[in-house]
Amino acid sequence: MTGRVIVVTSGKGGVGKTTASANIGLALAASGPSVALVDMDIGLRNLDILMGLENRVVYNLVDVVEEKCKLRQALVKDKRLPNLNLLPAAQTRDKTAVNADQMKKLTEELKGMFDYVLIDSPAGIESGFQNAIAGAEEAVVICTPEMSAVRDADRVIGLLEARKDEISQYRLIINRIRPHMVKSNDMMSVQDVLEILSVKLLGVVPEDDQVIVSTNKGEPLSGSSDNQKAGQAYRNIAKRLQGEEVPFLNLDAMDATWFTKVVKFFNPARV
Amino acid sequence: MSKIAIISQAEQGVLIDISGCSSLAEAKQYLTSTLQVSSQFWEGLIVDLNLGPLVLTPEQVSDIQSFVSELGVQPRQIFSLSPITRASLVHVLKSAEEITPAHATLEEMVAQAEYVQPRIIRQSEQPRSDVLAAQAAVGCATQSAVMEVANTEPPLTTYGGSHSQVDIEESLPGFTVVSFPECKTEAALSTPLPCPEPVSTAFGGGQQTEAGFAVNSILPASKILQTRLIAAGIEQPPAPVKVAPEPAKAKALSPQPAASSGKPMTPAVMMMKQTLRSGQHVSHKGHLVIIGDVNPGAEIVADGDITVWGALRGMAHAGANGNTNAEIRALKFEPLQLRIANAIARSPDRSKGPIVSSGPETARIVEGKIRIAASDPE
Repeated sequence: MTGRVIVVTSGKGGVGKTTASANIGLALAASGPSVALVDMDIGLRNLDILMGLENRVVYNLVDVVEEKCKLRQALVKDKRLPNLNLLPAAQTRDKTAVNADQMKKLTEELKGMFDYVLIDSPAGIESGFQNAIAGAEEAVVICTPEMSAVRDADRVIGLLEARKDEISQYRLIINRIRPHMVKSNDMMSVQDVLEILSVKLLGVVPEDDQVIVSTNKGEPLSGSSDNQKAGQAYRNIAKRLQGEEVPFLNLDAMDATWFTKVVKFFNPARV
Repeated sequence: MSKIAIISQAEQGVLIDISGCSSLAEAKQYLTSTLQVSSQFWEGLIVDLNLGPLVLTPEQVSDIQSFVSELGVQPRQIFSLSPITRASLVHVLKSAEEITPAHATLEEMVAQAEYVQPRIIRQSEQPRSDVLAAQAAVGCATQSAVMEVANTEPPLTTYGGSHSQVDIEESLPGFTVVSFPECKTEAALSTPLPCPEPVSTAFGGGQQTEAGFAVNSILPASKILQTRLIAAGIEQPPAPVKVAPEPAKAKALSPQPAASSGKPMTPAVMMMKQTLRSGQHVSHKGHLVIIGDVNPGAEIVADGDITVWGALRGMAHAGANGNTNAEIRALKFEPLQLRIANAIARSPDRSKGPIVSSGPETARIVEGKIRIAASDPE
């Protein structure tokens, strides 16, 4: 088995790398293939909390690298899907605990075991980021429609381009977009972001209050089909990663309140 | 190997090991980040410092000494793998004493370099009253009783003897010899160094095998029983809590030579008066008492019992050396994970609602599984 190693990165912190990793991982696994989620944010581990697996963590990535345990022992099996596994980061160590060569070796091993290896990179572009992209073959860059996030994403894409030999493709997810603010010109639109970054778009995820609820519950949104906004967006992203052609969500329709819906019903031209 | 390790030793205080650091600046950075976290904790504790292979000039040695003392740490002993650094230590010691006997032999100097106890370094003469109070609280009858028990366990750290001359030379291949007025490097090389063995602090240092947690070294059952009886004060009436071990006995019990004999030693109970936050890791080769909370993401590991006078929300591992009779108790019991010896228990999933603690509880192994019950005064 030769899996695909995909790193989820952003440069800027707080744009939703970990949320995206958890949701894409769960959506991918739900459609069949085996998935390993690797938390590379050593010292600030979060992915286990988003997955609701923090009480099951015994060994971690650093233990594997330091050969204190076998890789299989450190992998935490998801409580929902048996084909989804989490390799948690160490919480009591820092990013210097591993190096790029060790990460390459680790991802090689994971590639042999899983169809998809999703690496959740830490924020920043220092050694933690370098380690995270060391073994990656593809990259997903997360960006919010803000100038600062776009600039950091641009920097990261530049760094990824410099490693063209290893990283064959990189695609963009625009996260937390608010269609009503875009409409009133208070927020950058998808086109504005793409114009600056000029990369292939993988998906657009709308702002969704349910993301916070799901984080607190430890149940990623993409796991259930009864949600419409962010959960659906992440499921579509997972499909696109698998090579399916899925049209982008109509965000305008999603943002409609009951009032605009009523107005639209009677007078479609007004909205 | 980690850049910095804090290894608590049942009878020998705490060893701060910065042998993973490759430069003075790096060492200072890690010392700052680690020691400042719990500055009050270091006060009055016996602390040893291992510089590892760091090569330091006399100026740098006094620099690092004043640096750690600013952080509240007064090292009793400083160990070094590097003969250069050891020569520097001698230099600093001599200049501090302002006596440089011209007739002093190199061997004498080197001997002093091994156990640097410079005048400029203060050492607490009296054990802290709160540590003693904690001892009393946990029910350890006397210092000597605790020490006796602790001695049945294999010593955590072996000083001296383990590092031969060959090791030193290997650690410094082709290094240019720099001589200081008092000491020649060749002489330093000819003496075995008192270098602490690097000890893994992760998961209590127990060796892990494929089966998961392997038992490192288990006390004979009778010894455990004895330990517990003494601790509970059943066999022996509790003596007044005053640390006064006979010097001869202390010497016999302690694997460490010279410096520590007859001096008050850190008891087998370690008490920390602070909240442990995410990412902090404390391990101890005896009983561990935390006056404060243990937050999610923090890890506490002890060979003996763990008592948290506060909320336990992180990971606690008692009996890390395989002692299945170890207990974990806390005022508020909301741990992410509990480990006793080689048994693991995890908290219920968050989706099933929050864990509500119903007052002080104790976790112990019953029929091979960890059971939590309300604490009763027995």
